[in-house]
Amino acid sequence: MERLYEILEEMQPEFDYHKETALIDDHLLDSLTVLALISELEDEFDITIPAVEIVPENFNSAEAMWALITRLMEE
Amino acid sequence: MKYLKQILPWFLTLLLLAGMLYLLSILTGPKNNTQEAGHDAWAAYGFEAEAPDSIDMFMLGDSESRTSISPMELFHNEGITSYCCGINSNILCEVDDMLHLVLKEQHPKLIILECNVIFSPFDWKDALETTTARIFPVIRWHNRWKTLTPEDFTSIPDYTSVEVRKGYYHSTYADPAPPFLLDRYMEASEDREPLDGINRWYLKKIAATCRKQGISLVLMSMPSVKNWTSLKHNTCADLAAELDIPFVDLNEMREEIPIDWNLDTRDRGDHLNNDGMKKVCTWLGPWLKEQYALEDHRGDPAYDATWTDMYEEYVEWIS
Amino acid sequence: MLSYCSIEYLLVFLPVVFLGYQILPQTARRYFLLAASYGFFWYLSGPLVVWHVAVCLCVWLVGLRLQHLLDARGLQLKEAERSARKGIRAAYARRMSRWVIVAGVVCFGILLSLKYTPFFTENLNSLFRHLGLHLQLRVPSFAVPIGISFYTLQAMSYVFDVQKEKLQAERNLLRLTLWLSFFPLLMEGPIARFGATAEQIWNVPRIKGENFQKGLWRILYGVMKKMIVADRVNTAVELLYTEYASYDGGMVFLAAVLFTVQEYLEFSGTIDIVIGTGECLGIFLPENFNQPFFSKTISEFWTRWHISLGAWLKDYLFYPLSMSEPLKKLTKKCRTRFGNHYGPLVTSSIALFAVWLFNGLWHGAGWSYIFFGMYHFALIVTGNLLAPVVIGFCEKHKINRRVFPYQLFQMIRTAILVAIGEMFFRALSLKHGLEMFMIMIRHASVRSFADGTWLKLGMDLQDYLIVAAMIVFVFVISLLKERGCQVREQLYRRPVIVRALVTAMLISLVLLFGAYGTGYVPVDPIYANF
Repeated sequence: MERLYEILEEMQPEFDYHKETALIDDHLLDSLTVLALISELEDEFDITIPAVEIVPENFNSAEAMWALITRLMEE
Repeated sequence: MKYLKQILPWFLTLLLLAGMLYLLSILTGPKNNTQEAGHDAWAAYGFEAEAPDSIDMFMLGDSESRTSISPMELFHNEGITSYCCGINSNILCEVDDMLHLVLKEQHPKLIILECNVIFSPFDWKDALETTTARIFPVIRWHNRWKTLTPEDFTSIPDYTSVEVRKGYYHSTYADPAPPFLLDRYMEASEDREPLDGINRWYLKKIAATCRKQGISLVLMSMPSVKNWTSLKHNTCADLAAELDIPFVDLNEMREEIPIDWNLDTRDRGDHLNNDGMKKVCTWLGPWLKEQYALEDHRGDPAYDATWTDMYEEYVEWIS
Repeated sequence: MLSYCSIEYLLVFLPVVFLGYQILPQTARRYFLLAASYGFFWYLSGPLVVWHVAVCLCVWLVGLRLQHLLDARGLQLKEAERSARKGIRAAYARRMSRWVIVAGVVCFGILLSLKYTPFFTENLNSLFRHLGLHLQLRVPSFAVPIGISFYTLQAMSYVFDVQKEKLQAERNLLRLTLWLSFFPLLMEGPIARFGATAEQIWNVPRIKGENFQKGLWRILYGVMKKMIVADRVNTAVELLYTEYASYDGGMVFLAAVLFTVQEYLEFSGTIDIVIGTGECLGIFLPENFNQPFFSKTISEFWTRWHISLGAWLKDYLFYPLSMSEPLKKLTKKCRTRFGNHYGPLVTSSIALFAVWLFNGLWHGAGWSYIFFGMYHFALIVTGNLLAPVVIGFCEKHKINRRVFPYQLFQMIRTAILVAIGEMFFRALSLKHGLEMFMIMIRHASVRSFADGTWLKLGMDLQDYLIVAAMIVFVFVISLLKERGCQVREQLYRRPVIVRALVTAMLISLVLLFGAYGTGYVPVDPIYANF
């Protein structure tokens, strides 16, 4: 989880990822950042994020992303 | 109780809406039947400025009616008082509306319905617009918001402008009808011009109104090589038989009304000019007197102001 | 042509539907809605309705087939060893893709052959001519069913959602059909998703006073936009887009602005009527506009304008494409070389190119629409390329990008770029569009405004004033919405008399200031032919 925060801070240092819960819905992260983020997460956690999972609910907050990552790591 | 509570707001809405539309109708309606007041068919509405019950005959229809018959001519020749309520590119639902307006203050003995208007296409939306505009004239006059003057806010519509020409549209211009139209003019045929159900319905409505009011109705086609055909003639003859009213086709009466299509039309056989009108009136006056015994009002002092004294002015207009 | 803003729809069709809906018991209502929807379709397109039925049947069957495969996969996965699961998933994914392709071929096949064959054969013919071949194909022309571009995308979204396990496939054909044919959505969208709307429509709630009043306000707001502005500027727009060559740059710019105004108010007004219709019944359809002219960039604009189309393209084209294996690899490579901004930009540009080509073509079979798509593609890519430069520049010169004047500058810049795009969109052909653009650049002048040419386009000063007043009105409402104020909610809390007064006043305003009657022709809905 801490690693995820680090990655996010690296990508876009402007936001407080402990608090934001509408990163996508409020257009804080644009599609470019999302693409970079996905690529980074796949490398870091050795997972494959399928296109199906690219929905706002999975990326609106750091916690949601973490839930997605753990789910994919188990599969 | 619960039901009432649900209905009440909507009832209130409708009431307020009616009130607003009523006020807007007064505001936007032209304050007089003149061009200056913003009326687009001021001539046709001039009968409202005439004395009540003073006019014995009305012509209803489209532009064909207002270019073929001149009330002043009929008055000067035969003493018949009439008015021409024709409006350019008219439709039957508007004619019906006009008839109701006429009957408010006038009780004519005869109504001539010009026949070309019977065939002008319209649909239920036009009829709806006409009907709504009768209740709330703002539907018709709303575009006048652009040209409202201070007077529009301080006075109410009242049509007082007496028309010298009594709805007649004069023209001294002559533009001959082209030969190809003359060749086709009144070509014999057994076919019928098709007529929409809504046109038929409105025609029956107009006939019924006249019958109820004890007014004679006559279908009369005005001379026009461009607009009239044997097909329309046949349909009108059928309609007249069905409604049991007379039908007179002026296009067939080449002997009685010898229109010269080189000289008597102002726009290549579409409408007549003054010369054409005179030929029509020369025949029409005596015929009307004979058939319908319309009163001769010449010399009656009640008609001095708006008829007898205005004849001079009228002659000036049309020459 | 029947549009949602017509006497037929507002004064005949809707009242009959509302009345029937309210009288019937709930179980019969949904079938009544279905019958009304197909009646509506039949009225507009007649026997072409068979194409719609074909699409419904196709996605229903494919949906069931996909669900069957998903269920079978679930059973196998449960029993399989952990190591074998990946293989099972891949095998089923392949089989499912095949069915999705079947649906795609049928749905897009119908759309392409009915709407795009003339365009393609014409271009093929001109290609043959250029190659010197004496081969010319006959250019066919087909009658296109109403709203085909909208319901095709809607149908495909269902198939994709079942494939992605976002939805359980629908077993009831009628339920699926009602969602795909629901009459307010039929002509101009919004392109609704099955998950968010089908259930609501099928549930056919009772009409409630509050919903009905708010829905009616929404409808009236839409009618105002359409009748007071869109129909009024139509004559001037028609004139400027055909006779542009006899005007100077100022007038061509006016043409761009006027059409943008017309299109926005016509389209968003229609959507207001659509959503309002739903609201009257208690069915909440997705929004399609979110104050687009407050956008600061072109990408933002497309998340606020025709939202349902943008979202469809993003979900079903952009992400699947940029997340595909080859592009993912490319992202990885580029990220190490160009960094986190420019790296993904390369891949996303490839995906964006596909998105904008599709967007352009979806709007119509013509080069001007393709150009329109490419124009926005170029603007978005340029924006992304320049973003770090702009940020750097602003930081260097101590320009605060969060202050209002800077954001206002961004909004105006975006609006102007959009207006120029709309000019190409409306131009009679791409050639005309380019000519207009050249006039705008080469003969830029304000003389036509000084010598009164702008008042001789079929609009007088009063027309411009009422259009301006209406724009201000829409602007204020938008501003309130942007600030989070629910205008209709607030109004509904007022006493009955105030509510009644507002309704009566809105209707009166339409009847007084609407551009109808002599001298005005109602505009055919701009989006209904897409």
